[in-house]
Amino acid sequence: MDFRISAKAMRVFRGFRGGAFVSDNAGFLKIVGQTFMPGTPYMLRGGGLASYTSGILTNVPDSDVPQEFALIGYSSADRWQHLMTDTLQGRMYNSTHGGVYDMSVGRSGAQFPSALSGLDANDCGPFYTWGEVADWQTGSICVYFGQANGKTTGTFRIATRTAIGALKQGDYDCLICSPGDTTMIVWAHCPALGAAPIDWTALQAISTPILSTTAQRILWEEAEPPLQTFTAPKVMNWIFVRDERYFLQ
Amino acid sequence: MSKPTPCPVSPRAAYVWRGFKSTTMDYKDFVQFLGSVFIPACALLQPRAGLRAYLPTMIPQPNKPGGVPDQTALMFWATPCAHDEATVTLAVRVYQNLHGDAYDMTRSKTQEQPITIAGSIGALAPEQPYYLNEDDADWMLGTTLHLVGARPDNLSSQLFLTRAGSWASSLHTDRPDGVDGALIVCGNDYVAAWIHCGEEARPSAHAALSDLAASAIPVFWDVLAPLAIKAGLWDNWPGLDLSTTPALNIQLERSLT
Repeated sequence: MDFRISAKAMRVFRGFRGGAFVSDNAGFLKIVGQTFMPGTPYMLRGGGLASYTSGILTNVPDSDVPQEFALIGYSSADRWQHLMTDTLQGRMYNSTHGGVYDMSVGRSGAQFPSALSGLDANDCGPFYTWGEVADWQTGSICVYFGQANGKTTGTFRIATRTAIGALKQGDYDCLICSPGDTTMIVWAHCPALGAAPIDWTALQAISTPILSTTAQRILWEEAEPPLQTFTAPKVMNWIFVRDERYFLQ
Repeated sequence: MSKPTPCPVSPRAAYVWRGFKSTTMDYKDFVQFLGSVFIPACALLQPRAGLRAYLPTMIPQPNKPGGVPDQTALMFWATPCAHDEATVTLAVRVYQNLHGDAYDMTRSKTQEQPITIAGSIGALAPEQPYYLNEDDADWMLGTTLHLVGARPDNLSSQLFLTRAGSWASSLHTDRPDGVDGALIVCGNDYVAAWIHCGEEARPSAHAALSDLAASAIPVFWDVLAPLAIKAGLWDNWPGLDLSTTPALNIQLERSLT
């Protein structure tokens, strides 16, 4: 089986607290750890989910910083489209966010990334580089979450692209970046477990790291994925059995 | 689906839902969401966690005052504790997060568990559901009549609650033959009641509801239609069309439990 997927089939998610959780950080951390994160592979595994890498900040420095961030990989973008519109399970998953996240325009949401090489100056969505095809569930994932240094209105996204271009790829086969007005979230994937971390110095020239870590593997071995309790920032790479029907044999 | 095995449960295991749609959603979108996601999700996910009957009703909008809910539902669980115990399952917790998208939870989050009408004198407590007899019943089978009415403008809330209480006490002490279950909840501006019976007792159940309807302006008054959901969670399926079938007694796959 080949479980590698295109970066164009990865949903890149940024989540801000919303609803009753705007002023309830503990409640937000609980519902994310006990329901939303384990619920994602639980709900979507049978429909073609290929990988799920989720991250949480336990205390966000200001309201412009997303508290949750994730890569949600599907066997294809068409498969995602089918799931979310034509099946009850997909519609249900897609509809669970409103009570927990701020879903207003410009806040929480997910997008497919575009190739960095094809971006124009006005593009502001997520992008990928280094390579397009990877199996994000296996291997290592290195994560950097930075906040812009000083006032950068309107320039930080472009500066982020330039800084990404200065990173050394090494053995890594794909990098995905979610650039914001004042924040950047970067995931880099290496097919090998235990890969040496990325040197993020080029990003630190324009941003202050909020989080720089390697994703922790979370094995789904029981009837339900393991629940999470968050006392510190954490990035998790969820390991689950994929449905072979949706992948290349 | 094979003929279901009767599965009577206590009225104390009922949950009585009155939902007001989110202010950010128009009624057409509300109906679309409940039909394509919310109601089938409840019907397919929760029997495994102990749901035994599910009877949702969309309330017609023409002439419906704002104080009357946009949707009602009865849910019967295997035991009075089963609803709360169900939240240990991830599927149920995920399902519960659907509420925030569709409902105005400030108005919809009211008491759902009924108490007995026995010993109650005078006015009903507003927004407190009551069951009117103690018998176990299988609400998924048989016939269920449902009335939703608005408080008439010339009736004070207190008198409205008193009349509803009088009706409930009367049905409790003088239950029509063939009726094995009844529930009522009354707010300051609406009343909702359900009577469960065998098909042969439908005329007497209807007559009993007529007495309650005389104290209200009926907004919905009908039999809930049995409906089996033929699709699964991963099927290519658009969901239920609640604009054509707004009042349902979902035929659950209880054999899965």
